[in-house]
Amino acid sequence: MRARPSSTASHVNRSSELGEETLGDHSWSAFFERYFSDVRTPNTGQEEGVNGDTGVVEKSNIEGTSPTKPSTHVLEFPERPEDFRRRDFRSFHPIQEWEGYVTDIFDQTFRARIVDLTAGGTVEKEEVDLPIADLTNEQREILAPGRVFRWAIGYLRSMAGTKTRHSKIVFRQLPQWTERELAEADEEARRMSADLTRNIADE
Amino acid sequence: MKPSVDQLEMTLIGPGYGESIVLHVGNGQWVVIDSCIESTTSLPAAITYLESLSVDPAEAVKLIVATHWHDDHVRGMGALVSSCPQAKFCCSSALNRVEFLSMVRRFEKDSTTKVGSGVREINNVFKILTERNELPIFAGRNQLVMRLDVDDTRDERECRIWTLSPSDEQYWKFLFEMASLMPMLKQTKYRCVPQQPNHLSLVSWIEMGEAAILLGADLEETKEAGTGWSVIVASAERPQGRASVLKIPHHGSANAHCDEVWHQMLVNQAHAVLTPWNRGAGLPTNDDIQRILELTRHAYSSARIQLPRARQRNPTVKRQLREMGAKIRSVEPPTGRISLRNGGISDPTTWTVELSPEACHLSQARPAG
Repeated sequence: MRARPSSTASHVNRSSELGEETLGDHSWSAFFERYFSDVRTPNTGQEEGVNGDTGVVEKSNIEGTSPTKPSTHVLEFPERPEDFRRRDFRSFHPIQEWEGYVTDIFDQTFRARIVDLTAGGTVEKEEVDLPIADLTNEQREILAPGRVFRWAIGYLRSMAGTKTRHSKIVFRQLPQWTERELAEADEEARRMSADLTRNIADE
Repeated sequence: MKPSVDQLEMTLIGPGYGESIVLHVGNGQWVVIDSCIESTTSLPAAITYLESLSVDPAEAVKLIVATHWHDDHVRGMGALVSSCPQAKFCCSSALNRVEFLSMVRRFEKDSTTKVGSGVREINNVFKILTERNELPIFAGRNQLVMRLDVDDTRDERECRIWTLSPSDEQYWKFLFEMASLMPMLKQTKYRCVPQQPNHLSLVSWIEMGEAAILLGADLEETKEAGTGWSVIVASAERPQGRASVLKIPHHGSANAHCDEVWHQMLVNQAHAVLTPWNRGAGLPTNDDIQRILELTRHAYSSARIQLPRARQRNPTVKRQLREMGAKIRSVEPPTGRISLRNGGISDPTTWTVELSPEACHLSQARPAG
């Protein structure tokens, strides 16, 4: 049996970085047990999570498999049953988007240079002061000069049809510098320095 | 109209995410200091200006000097260097340190954000130079970086270009700054944001015959031993003489003012030019303008300081911004230009000033009230 997690797994689904956003959640344990009689989730008392990107059940305890051998079954799921969808489904429709980076932090605000993505901009031609109070606690902890973020203004729509104007700031979860990258960069720098000064040594 | 063969010309262009100075140093030879993007063409302002005079940058530009290393101040530098294959490139010797190049390469590693790495331009410049197999001029304090013959018929006529900074102390301060900016293992990637002041600001002195020009870059008078303008003024190794034109440092701010520069390095009533700074309350302030005008009446700004306006937006967006109390400002007001030309060999210290429509006398640089 092959199964694939539906697009509305237990994580936020984004068709773009800040585009359509569906906030959904469901119980995988109940879903497994209702639809797949040969699948039992571990009796850990915790929700089984699925790595939404790969669809691989990370800690498999599917009956019939060896409990000591890690399983890499890829499960494909049929269309999500109606009664597993949350009723307070919301989506965000951006009207204006910027990408920016923090330049200064003050008591109440932080300053940023921003690129107007909606206008097709490629250079930071504008600057803005934004209230720190609008950030979450987690965002305030990572607020620092150089941090890159996306900022969108648009409408939040509910399933019931109500529309609310909304502003959203998301700090980009850029990757970390890896050991390989730093080593490569340092080697490139040594070669560049040697190229830029070779005649001085020769003289 | 191009300057005549024996005329010295200095044209200051900005603001435009930085500034650029284009100099005619005689005999159809040009020098460019720093780079900014022309707000209307999105091309390097120096290229746009030279082409407006029917000057071919590929042949005519002999030297390009970078007094900064960060993208915010040298926009278009890569394109400028690429367009001027006859030009030598000059920057501070600190930029050749492996530590600086490592910092640049680390920031550039897989940088895919729209806002860029912050060091892209200088990285592009060095890549171009290594591809061309060309060595830059790494400059320091009181260094003669170039001599150009300006008159084929007179051996004694030449243009000399000096750099007067950074001092040894500023060099080491820059290294400390670099250490604080260096990306480290497992650190989340971010954009390079340099600190103030610019420790590597390259002050230049251009002399041709009896005429001399002092370009103040962004050097500030920090009052710390071994740094700032005091060190330059006191130096016995710098070119002596007095300049008749000053590019005022750091947008005319009080931090960059040094009385001794005006009293010991400039002629009385020297011509003084600056580009304004449109962030925050703006520079120069009214006090700065008054101070400068007390020293010379020949003071000009390449643009008026204006309350920058953001572009027109969707009413929903405007309402949201209003409720948030967020004000978006443009950091690229229209680029202006100030050109000064002397009278050539016959009258080297008399200057003619030409202002673009955006530029003005310094007394009119700030809005009234």
